[in-house]
Amino acid sequence: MTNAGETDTSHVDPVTSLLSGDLVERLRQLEIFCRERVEGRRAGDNRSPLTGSSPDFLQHRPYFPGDDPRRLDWRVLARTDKSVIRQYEEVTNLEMTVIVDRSGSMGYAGRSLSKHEYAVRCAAILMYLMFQQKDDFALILFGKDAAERCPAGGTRLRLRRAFEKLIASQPAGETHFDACFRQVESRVTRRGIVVVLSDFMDDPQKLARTMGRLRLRGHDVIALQVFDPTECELEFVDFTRFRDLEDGELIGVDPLLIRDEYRRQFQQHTETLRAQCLAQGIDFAALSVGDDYEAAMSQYLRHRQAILR
Amino acid sequence: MRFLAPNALYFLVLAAIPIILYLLFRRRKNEVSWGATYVLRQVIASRRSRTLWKQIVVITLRTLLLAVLAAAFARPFLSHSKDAAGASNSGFPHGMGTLHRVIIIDNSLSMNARHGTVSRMDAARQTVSGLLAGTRPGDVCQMISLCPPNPGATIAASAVNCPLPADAALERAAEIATISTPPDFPGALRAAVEAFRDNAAASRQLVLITDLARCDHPSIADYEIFGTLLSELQVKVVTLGLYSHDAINLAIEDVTAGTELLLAGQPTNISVRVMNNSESGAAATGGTQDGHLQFLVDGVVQAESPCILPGGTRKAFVFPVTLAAGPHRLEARLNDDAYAPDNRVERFLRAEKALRVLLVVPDDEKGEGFEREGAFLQRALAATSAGNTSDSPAPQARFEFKVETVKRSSLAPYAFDNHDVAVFCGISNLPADQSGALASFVRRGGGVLLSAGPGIDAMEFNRTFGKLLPLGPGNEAALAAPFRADFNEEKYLSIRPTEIGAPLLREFEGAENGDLSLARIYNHYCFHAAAEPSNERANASESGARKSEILLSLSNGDPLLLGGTFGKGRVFLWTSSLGGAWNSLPVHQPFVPFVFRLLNLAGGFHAPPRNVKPGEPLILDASGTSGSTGAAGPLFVTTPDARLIETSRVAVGSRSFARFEQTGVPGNYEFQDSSSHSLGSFSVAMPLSESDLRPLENDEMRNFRAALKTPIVSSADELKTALRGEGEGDEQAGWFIFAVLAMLLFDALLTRIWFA
Repeated sequence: MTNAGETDTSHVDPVTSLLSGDLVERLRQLEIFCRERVEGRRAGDNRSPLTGSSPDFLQHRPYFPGDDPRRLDWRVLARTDKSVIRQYEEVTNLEMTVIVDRSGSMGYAGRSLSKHEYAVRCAAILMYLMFQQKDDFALILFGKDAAERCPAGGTRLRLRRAFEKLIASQPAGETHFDACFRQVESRVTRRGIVVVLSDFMDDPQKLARTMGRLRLRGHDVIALQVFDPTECELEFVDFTRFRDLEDGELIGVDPLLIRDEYRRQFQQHTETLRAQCLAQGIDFAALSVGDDYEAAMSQYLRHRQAILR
Repeated sequence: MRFLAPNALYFLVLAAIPIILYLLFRRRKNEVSWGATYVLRQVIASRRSRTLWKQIVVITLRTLLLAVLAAAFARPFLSHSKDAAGASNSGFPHGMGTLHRVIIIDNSLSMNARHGTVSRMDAARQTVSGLLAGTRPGDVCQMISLCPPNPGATIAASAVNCPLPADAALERAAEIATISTPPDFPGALRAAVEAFRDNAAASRQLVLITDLARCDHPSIADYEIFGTLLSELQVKVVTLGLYSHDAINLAIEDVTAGTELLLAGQPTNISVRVMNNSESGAAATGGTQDGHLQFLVDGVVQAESPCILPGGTRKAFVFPVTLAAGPHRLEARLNDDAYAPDNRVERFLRAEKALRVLLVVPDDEKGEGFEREGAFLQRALAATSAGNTSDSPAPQARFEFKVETVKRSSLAPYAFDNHDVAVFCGISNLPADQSGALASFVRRGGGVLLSAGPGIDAMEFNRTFGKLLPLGPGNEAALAAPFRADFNEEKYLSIRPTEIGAPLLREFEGAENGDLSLARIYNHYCFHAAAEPSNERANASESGARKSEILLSLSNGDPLLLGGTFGKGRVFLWTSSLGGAWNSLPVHQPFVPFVFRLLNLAGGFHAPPRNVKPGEPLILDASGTSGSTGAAGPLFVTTPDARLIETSRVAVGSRSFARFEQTGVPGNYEFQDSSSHSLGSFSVAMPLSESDLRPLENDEMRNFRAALKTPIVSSADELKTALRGEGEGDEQAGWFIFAVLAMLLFDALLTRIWFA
C-alpha cells in the first residue's frame, strides 16, 4: 500500500516501464565507445592505460632486476644480447557513470514530459546500452543534498536497482554543481565515461570548469543539456509572476518587455556552455524535451560513433 | 487658451486609466512555475532600468493621449490677439464666419433707475450700440424689446441692417425707450428662438440686457424650455445684468383720499403711501435718513415730513386738507434716489359744492323722532347748509347735500338720473322698472346706500336688491334674518371701529373724531350661512363686477357696513337701521360726519375717473366744453412723452364724451381744445412693480443661469469676454484630435518596436 502521489514500483518492472520491448530491440543497433583508455574492473574490449596479458603486443622495455624473467624476450636477447621485457596491452571493460540532475528546475514540464522525466529516460537508455555491451554502469543522482549513488556494476540486478532509483527520484531543491561534482570526483576513481544529464541552469563557465576537473582525471565526459522548447520562447502576453522551481522565489515581469532579450540570453547560455565544454574537451549535446528521446539519443550516439571510428 | 465646454474636463480623470490598468495588471495573480529562472534573472538584471524607462514612456504617452482627448471634448479655444481678423471696431467679438446676433433689451420702466450718473437704460443703449456696430456684411442682427407695445401683444424681432456704422448704431440704440407694459420674458425668448430658426449663420449669439428685476421673473422655471431650444440651436446666451444690490428706492405708491370727489370745505385726510423697495438688509444704512416727503396741493406745499423707512416696509402718511370747490391737483414728492419716476406722484380730484342725494322712504314710515330714518336723515343732511358759518375756512365754498326725499310709491324710474347718491331707508322692494333703473344708475357710477332696518322684509329685500348687494363675509349676497327677534335694550353690541378699509372713513378708526364704539347696536341683519351661489352671483363674481369689503364690524364679528362695486358705481349696505330704531348711533356726535363721509364715498364715482392705470382709457365728459370750436370740434391730448394726439368726441344722448386709449406711458395727460384751452387733466399711475429695483435672489439667479445656460455678466467688458467664447479666436479641437491620432500611431509604433 502506498500513499497517494507516490509511485508504486512493487508490481511494475522498472526496466519495462522505462524501456519498451520495441525500444530495446532498436537499441541493439547502438554502441557506446569511449574516447579514452579506461580502467575497468574486468577484462573487456576497451584499451586500458595499463599493461596486461592480452595477446596485443605493446612494446619492449629494458629489463630491470626484479622483473619476472618469464617476460624476457629471449629472441631479442639471443640476437642482440640485450635483456628486454615484452609488454602486452591491457584490455578491460568500460565503466559509465550517469549523473542525473534532480534539482527543482528539472521538474519543469512544458507541453509533454518534464525535463527530469526526459533525463531519466535518456539515462535509462544509456545504462541499458552499457548492460547490453556487458560493461559496467553507475548512477549518481545529485541535487541540493549529497549525491545519491548506485554502485557500478553490469548485472541485470544492478540495472534493475538503477532503474528503480531513477523512477523513484523526484526533482526538488536547489543545485550545487560544485559540491556535488567534488563528491563525484572522490567516488568515481576509475577512468570511464561520465555522462551528465542536466539543464545546466548556472554559470556556463563555472559549470565547464567543474566538469573539466573530471576530464583532467581522464574521464570521457559527456554533457547532455536537457531543455524544454517553451523555456526558450517565453510565450506569455500578460504580466506574469514566475516561480523559481528551486528556491520558490517569485519574479514578476512583463514578458512582452523582455521576450527578445530572454530568447537571446537563453541561446547565448546554451552556446556559451557548448563552447566552454568543447574547450575543456567535454562532449556536449543539447536535448530538447519536445523531441523524441529515443531518436535524440540514437542520433547523438550514432554521431559520436561516426566520429570515433 | 480657454475651454468652451469646460464640463468635459471632468473626463480628464480618465487619463489615469493607463496608470490604474498598469497597477492592476501588476497585481494580477498570473503565476507560472519556471525552470529557467537563471536566464530570467540574468535578463532582468541586465535590462531592468531600460525596461522601466520604456514602460514609463509608454504609460505617459497613453495618459497624455487620454488627457488630450478629454481636452478635445472640452472644445479648447484659442483667442486671437486684438489685431486679429476677428476683432470688430466696437471691441465686441465677432468670430470668423457670419454671425447671427439677437439682442433682447429690457425696456421696462425699472431700466430708468440710475446708478451714479448713468441710468440702466443709458448703459444698455451704449452696449447695444456697440453690439450693433460690431456686425459685418452678411451678418444678421435683430433686436427684441422685452416689453410688448401693448399688454398681451406678441413680441417680434426687428431687424437691423448689417453692417451698421457707429453713428447709425448710436441713433438706433437711442430709439429704445422704456414703456409701462409689463415685461414678457417668455415672449421675448420665443421671438428669439424663432429668429434663430429663420436664419443660418456660422455662430449665434443671444445677448440679454436686463436689470433682472425680481418682479419681472415670476416663474423662471418656464425659461428652461427656451434654454433647451437655444442650446439645440447652438446659441451662445450671455446676460448683461444691469442691477445693483445697493440701490435705494423709496416709492410713493399712492396719493389718495379714497375717492376722486370731495366735498368743498370739508376737512379730508389725504393718504400718501410710501414704500421702501430696497433690500431689507441695506435699509438701516440705505440713505433713507435723507428721505423727505413733500405734499402739495395745486403746486403749493401743504406739508413736509421726514421719511425714514426700513427696507421692504411701507408707511402711510396722512395729510389733512380742506379744498375749495373745483378741480385740484394733489402731489407728493420725495427727494431723488435710484429710481426717480416713482418719487413724484400726481393725482387729480375735484371738490364739489353740492352732492345730490335721493332719499327714498317707505310710504308709511313708522316710528317717531330718530326712529323715522328718512325724516331724520333729511334733517341731518340739511344741516350742511345751515352749518355755513363765518368761521368756516371757505364759507363761500362750503358744500351742501341737496336732498330730495321721495316716497317709494312716488319714485319714478328717471328719478335717479339727476342724483349722485340714492339712499333707501327701510325699503324692502321696488317695482321691476325702478329696480332696473336703479341697477342702470349704479352701473353708470351712481352710489347707493341701503339700510336694513326693522321695517323690511328680508326676502323682498333680497329679491329687489340682491343683484346689487355687497357680498357678505362668506360671499353671501342675501340677508337672512335679524340678529335678535325681539328688541331688548339690555342686550346690545358695539361697533369695532378698527382697520377701516376706505381711506375716507379712516378718520373714524380712533376716538379723535368721535367714538363710534360708544354707540349701542341693539339689532342688525345677519347674512345667510354660506350657500350655493346662484348663477347670477357666480357670473357676477366671475366678471369681477362685485368687489366687496367690510368697512365696519360689530363686536361679535358680524358686518355692520359693507361696501361693494357694481359697474362703475358703489353700493353700501348698513345692516342695522340708519335711524334710532335698532341702534343709538344717531344720538352720538360722529353720526352726522360719518353719514357725510359715507355719502361722499358713495357719490364719488359718478364722473369718469381722472386717475387710471396704464392701458385704461381716459374718458372726458366734454359736455359744455364746446368753446369756440363748437361741440364737434377736435380735441387734443398732450401725453407725458410730449406728444399731441388728436381725439374726437362721441355724443351720448345730450352729452358728449372724449375717449383716449393710448395710455401706455405713465404720467399726466391733458385734454385740450383746438385753442390749447385745458379741458381736464388725467393721471396714469406708474406701475408699482417697476419700483422694485431688487434683483433676483441668489437662488433665483442660479436658476436663471441654469435655465438659460447663460453666464450673467455685469459690464460691457465682461460681456465681450463672455461672447469671445463663440467669437474671436478658433477652436483647437481639430488639432487636439490630430494630436491624439499622432500619439496613437506613435504608441503603436513604440509598442511594436519595444514589446512586440
